[in-house]
Amino acid sequence: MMSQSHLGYGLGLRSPHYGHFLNARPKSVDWLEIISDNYIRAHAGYHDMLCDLRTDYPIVMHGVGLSIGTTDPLDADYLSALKALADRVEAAWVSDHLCFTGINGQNSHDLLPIPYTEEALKHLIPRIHQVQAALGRELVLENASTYVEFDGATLSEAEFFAELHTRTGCGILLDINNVHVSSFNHGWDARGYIDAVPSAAIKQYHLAGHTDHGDYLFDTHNAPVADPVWALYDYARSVHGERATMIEWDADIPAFEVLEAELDKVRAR
Amino acid sequence: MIYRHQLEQLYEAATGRGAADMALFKPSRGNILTPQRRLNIYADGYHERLKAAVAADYPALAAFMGAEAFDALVAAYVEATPSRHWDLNLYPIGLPDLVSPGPAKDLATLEAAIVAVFWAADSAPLTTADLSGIDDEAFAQMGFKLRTASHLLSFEAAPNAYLTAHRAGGPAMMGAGPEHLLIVRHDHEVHRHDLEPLEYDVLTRLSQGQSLTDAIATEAAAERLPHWLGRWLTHGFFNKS
Repeated sequence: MMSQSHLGYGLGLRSPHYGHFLNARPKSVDWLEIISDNYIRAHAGYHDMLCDLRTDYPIVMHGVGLSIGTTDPLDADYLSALKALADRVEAAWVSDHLCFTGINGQNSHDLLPIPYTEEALKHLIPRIHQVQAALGRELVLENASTYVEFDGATLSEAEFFAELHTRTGCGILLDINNVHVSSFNHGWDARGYIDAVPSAAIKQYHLAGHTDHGDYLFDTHNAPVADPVWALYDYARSVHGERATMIEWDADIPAFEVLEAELDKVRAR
Repeated sequence: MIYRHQLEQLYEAATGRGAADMALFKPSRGNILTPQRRLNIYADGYHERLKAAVAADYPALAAFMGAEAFDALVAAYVEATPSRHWDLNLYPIGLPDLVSPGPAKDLATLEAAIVAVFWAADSAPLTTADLSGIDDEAFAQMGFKLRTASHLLSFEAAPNAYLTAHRAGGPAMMGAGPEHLLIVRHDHEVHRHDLEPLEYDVLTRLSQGQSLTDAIATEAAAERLPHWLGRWLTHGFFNKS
């Protein structure tokens, strides 16, 4: 029997597949992940749809707009709307990324890396507490794919995550593809990264495709999971055990059957 | 605070808005990728992401202007307009401000209004049942507030006809106007209602807070009111409260 946090194997709910989920209710998908930001301002028709799907699928909320790392104040309206949506869909958990998306009132709509320093920890820890208090639940943070590192970091990314978990109780969404992409781009040891993440903090695994530009990898979510990512996923499971796992596919979205086949590969491992 | 400075420097470079202090970034992997090239990955992505978001909301304008002119317009918009909201869906709405007056601006304004109405807050519609039991005198003094998710528009050209033809996939030609429209979200769908000029005038007055009596300023409008009122209530033109 799966534990409460190991929901099984899920997919991201994307608009081309709304009709299939609503009409066919495929049992090959154990749970759904929604992009929180696409729904918190959406009209009631979308909320009705999510509540309808919630009767058959646990829903996990995954955001891109929290900007936990920025030095701008946290957006109280955003947090309030996020909580309202989480309550409405009875979200199994709420995640976003360890990053900043903007600063001084401007937004890049990208997941920009932060420096992994003591000063950054001191900045983030009270903000994570503030978010968790506003949401009334644990915040789960994902490792983003990155293309640049700050010089002078005193902690590795995995060590930074471990400190955040220890000092705030936040969870970790371990994106295996992102570990692979960032490790390639920065010359990190991907298995060493996996080893350094605290098992108890890991709530979920993400798998996705990326694009190989030769001298760097780019996180595109538009292709099947690559072989090295499958291997790293197997390694992560051997170190940390099974967790709720989902396939992210956000561009050039294929037919549902393609995603279902990709999910079958996860289930068969 | 070093942390804030580090973030500001990365943000400037990652959005292509300024040069960063390169000493802040790590030359890793044996300098295979220079820090500047790494920052360019972000800057290129920033421009492509915002341009794609804008282009997705103006398909008819793109067809009307042609790819080259439209791409130049979108690039100019992204260059001139930093995003100031976490919701990327709202970013494209300001594009019409960059278009010179004329049919293209009318079409841009129409497509922007459709996006704005789609993302506007919910409100309950006023229905015929809500008016039952109200006597004639009270009815005449009532105010009617347009739906929160609505835009009242008037154009010199005929962008709505163009948009309809474009969406149908046939040849679209921009005709002469004027056109008067109410864009309203009702029953979770965005609808475009063509309005009579007089009807547009009455709805404008109502949206400015005039009572029904004051808004119905002419005999012609009074004659048309029963017909309009039925349509307004059926299609959810007004907020319930």
